[in-house]
Amino acid sequence: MSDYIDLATVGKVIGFAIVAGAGLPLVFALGLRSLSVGTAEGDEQSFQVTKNPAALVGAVVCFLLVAAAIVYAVYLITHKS
Amino acid sequence: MTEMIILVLVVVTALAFDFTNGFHDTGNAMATSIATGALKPKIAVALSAVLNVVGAFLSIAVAAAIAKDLVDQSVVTLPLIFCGLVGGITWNLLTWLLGLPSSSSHALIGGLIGAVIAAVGMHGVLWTGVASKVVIPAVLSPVIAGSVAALGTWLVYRSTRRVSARNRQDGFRWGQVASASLVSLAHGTNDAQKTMGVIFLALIAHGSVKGSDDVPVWVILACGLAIGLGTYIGGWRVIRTLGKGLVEIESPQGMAAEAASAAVILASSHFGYSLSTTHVATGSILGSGVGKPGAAVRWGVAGRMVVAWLLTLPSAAVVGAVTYGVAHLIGGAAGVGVVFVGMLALAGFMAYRARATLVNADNVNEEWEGGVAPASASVHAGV
Repeated sequence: MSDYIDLATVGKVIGFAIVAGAGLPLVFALGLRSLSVGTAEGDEQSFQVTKNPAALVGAVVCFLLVAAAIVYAVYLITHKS
Repeated sequence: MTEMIILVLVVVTALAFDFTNGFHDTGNAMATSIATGALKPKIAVALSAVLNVVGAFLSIAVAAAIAKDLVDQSVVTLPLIFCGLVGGITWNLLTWLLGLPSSSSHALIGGLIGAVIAAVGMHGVLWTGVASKVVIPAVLSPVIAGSVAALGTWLVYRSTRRVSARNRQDGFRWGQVASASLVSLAHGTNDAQKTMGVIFLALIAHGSVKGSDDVPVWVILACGLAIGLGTYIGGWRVIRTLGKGLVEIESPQGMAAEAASAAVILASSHFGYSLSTTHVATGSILGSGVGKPGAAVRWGVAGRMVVAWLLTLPSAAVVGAVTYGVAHLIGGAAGVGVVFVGMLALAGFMAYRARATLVNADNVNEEWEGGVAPASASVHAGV
């Protein structure tokens, strides 16, 4: 069977795919969630949302992380293929 | 002179294959972005086309070999390459007509295997290579991509429960466009390169260039443009099946699916496996339906696709073998010419049949009613 399938490599592909393929959407989602954290004041017609600064920083960090991963992916595509 | 005519026909056919490769695979990257409205249909195919061309120019290592570990290189001749390409094109067009995503690489490999068997018999095919490099990855990759996409989908829905539906939809559309762009770029580097390799090999076989030479610039240019043009034409039938037929898709699912596709394609090419983008993308989209609680997944459509995948290699092989038999029987440039004309006639017939149930940028997102043909298309054609 080992002539046909290299389990170690398949394992690495699965590991990378989970971290990058499911992990990055999660980080992006957490960024979106942080972005929507805030306190609304007023009634339904006119209200003001005060953003939470810490949450805003968290959101920026999440989005930067995703952006860095995309840059790295482009690097991989252009240098490894 | 005869050799020159055959060479020209091989190059033209290789570019035609590259073109069908482009429009057959537009949906792999862009179907979800089109279905969720993250990008307008025309913008999506234009973006994907540009990225495919850019990807083609970034291809560095073009192998002057065709299906290197799959067929005995010493039996490869120009008519054999030609008939392999015809097998690949025929299967690509048929599956496009039926709106079924299927692997262009498998179609080309199948066509070549068939032509090799017709030329020298079963021993010309390296079956161990076929099993380890084609069959097993084809079984594993959609399952891996689908599982990762399902996990990603579940995670993003779970972590954005308190985000308003509108903010969630708009936010994930951005992520969707970015991840779909990566898939397009990876597609350009992988797939345009295959056709470049085919043409380069044909030029070597003809004696116009040496194996140690660089790939001529016109080959890179022509292949990049052929795949880009094909992508821009947009395989709307396949896009519709992937974006509307398989699952009802929202932007968070779309981002999870494309991110899973990009990750699996990049990881496997990094570790030296070349996968079918189609199998990965389809698995991911299916997974994004499984991962969202309550989402509708049309398993019947998925089943039809799997049947098409199983038939890809043998069907393209039969076309490759039969056309090789015909070309060989007639012989020389005339034989290759007859097959070429036959292929053009068949392509014309399928393009004509497609008009009866036309799918285009305007009706690609219509509700799915059991088949690729949108309701408006049948009315339009009076069927």
